[in-house]
Amino acid sequence: MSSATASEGTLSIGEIRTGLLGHSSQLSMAETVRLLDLVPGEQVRHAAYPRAYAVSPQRLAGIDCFMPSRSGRHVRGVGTFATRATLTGGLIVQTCSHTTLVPSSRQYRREWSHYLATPGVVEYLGRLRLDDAAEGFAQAENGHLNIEMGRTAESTVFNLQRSRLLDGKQPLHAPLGRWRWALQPVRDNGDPGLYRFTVLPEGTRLIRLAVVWPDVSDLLDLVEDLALHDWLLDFVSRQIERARPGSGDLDRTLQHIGPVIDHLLHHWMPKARVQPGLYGLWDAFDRFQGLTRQWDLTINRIRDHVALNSLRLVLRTESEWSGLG
Amino acid sequence: MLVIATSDKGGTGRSVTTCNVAYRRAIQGDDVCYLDFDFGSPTAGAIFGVERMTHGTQAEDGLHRYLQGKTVTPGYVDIWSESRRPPGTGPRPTGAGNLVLYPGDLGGGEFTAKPEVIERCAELLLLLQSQFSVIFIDLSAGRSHAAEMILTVTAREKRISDTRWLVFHRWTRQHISAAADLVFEERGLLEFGHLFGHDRDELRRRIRFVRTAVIDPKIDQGLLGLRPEQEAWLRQVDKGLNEQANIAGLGRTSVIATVPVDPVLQWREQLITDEDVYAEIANETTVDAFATLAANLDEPAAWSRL
Ligand SMILES: Nc1ncnc2c1ncn2[C@@H]1O[C@H](COP(=O)(O)OP(=O)(O)O)[C@@H](O)[C@H]1O
Ligand SMILES: [Mg+2]
Repeated sequence: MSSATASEGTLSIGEIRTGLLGHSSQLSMAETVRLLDLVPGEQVRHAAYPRAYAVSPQRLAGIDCFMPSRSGRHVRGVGTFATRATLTGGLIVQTCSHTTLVPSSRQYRREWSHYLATPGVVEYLGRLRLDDAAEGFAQAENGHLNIEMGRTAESTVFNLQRSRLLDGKQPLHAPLGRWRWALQPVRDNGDPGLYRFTVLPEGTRLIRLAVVWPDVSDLLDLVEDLALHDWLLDFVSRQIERARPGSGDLDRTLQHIGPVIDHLLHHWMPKARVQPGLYGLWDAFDRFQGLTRQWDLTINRIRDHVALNSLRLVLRTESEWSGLG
Repeated sequence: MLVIATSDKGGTGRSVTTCNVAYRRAIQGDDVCYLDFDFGSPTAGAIFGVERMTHGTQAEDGLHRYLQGKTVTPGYVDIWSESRRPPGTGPRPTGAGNLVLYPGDLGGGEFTAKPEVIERCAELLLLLQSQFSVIFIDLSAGRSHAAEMILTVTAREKRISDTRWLVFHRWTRQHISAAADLVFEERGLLEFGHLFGHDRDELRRRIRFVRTAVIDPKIDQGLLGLRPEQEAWLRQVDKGLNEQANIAGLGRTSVIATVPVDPVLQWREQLITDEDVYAEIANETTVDAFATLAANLDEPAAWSRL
């Protein structure tokens, strides 16, 4: 539905929340579709390959407020932002609220039907400094966000988690991953165009990218995929840290690592939902942040650990047998 | 797991103890959150050392407002990055889990347990349950609307299943009988719980008592500078209190922790860190009591004997 296109003078911004559904197993595709049916009469899009993935229709919220700013400038904007939810592997839930800021052709606010005709677009009235807006939204620690899409993204997770389809018996408790992003279109000059990636002390990720890609909905897929893998890596490495492998406390280790192996590892599938034309951007991010490198290390650590413990068990059993004989 | 901290009176040490237990549980590796439902006096911000929330949040998005439907999501604070206790905590200690505070509202006051409020409370707990392995709730003292709300939610929402109640009281004659009343008497937890749909025996099995700021005549003798006669007298009092507690239903099997009186906590409400113990400012026995209680929250042996 996102009909917005990114072109010069525009800025796409948004917030993503990533977490685990409160449910004992993966939802089937039929259940997934029911869960994501946020807008009556509109379709939930879904695919089974390369892995189960579904996207809800978008919900709109109207706004008339100041635009984000680093410096505290007051530029008014009117329009809508859109929120969608996705479910990956019947288990990982993401909500994304986003909008694209475009210059208005008039200096006054128009009737709502005008804004509703282009959902997920906010028209700014006046001179917006895009760098200042992008920095205020997704780089500065204390920028003026002004558009509170984070709350909407988060309350959408609230609504999904209380669904009667879920049994509340999740095998793992995972913190919500919080991403705030700003994408600025640029002319193609061969530059991968990664601007800034900031992790706030409490864990929120801020990302600013420059892109040559015009289709905002493709860009959403890209940022959601990055957020998902970043969250997955963060969560799995913390589970391992917590499992204290090598501490000799086998029960503790298994209690933390077991569910990760059973439920999460196989969801690592970089770029599965990204347009091939945007692979370069994914890879550039990966080069800077070392996602894949860290993931490989982490997985190897888990494998070695599991292998070592199996060996220990075998040896223990053998010595018990020989003790008997 | 949902851990609900309550007490009949204020000033029992409920908030200070619960904050410290939450802190210990996070250090032990769990993702932990702390909900300040003590709308009359939301002190958790102060105890966790978050200066801007000494008396609850001013951002108008605290739990109180969330439950009233005035904000769609409640605000929260990451303790590891925002606390100045322990000084310059910085990042999370290795192996520790998240520690997140959902503050109450500054001057929030009381509220009523209307159906929408109960619904919102259930939603919040379901959401947090997917993110945290232990959720602490600091309830207001006595028979409150907050208590009514939690009793209702835990009775109705079957998906919030693993609930444990901690009833805090000081080690005095008055406090013992007040705590017993809060649980067993008319309009007490069990009676109200039953009214809202709990099975009385099942609820009873989920309640344990925590004795706070307890003076141990033997250990604290030096600390307090007791003469032998005074120690003997204290011992006598202690014996009397134990008898009273047994009769009131607060005897050994229903006590999950005894927290000794601590010099630091007598002066200030705060987290006690291992550094405080190394510096010999705080007592090791206090930290031990917090850590043991944290570990015992889901230790079957601590909950099986009733
Ligand atoms: N173990 C303890 N030793 C000494 N003082 C304590 C102890 N626990 C709590 N206190 C003190 O008792 C007072 C009341 O504690 P608080 O946690 O605010 O109680 P409540 O939440 O029940 O009202 C505070 O000044 C606190 O520092
Ligand atoms: Mg208190």
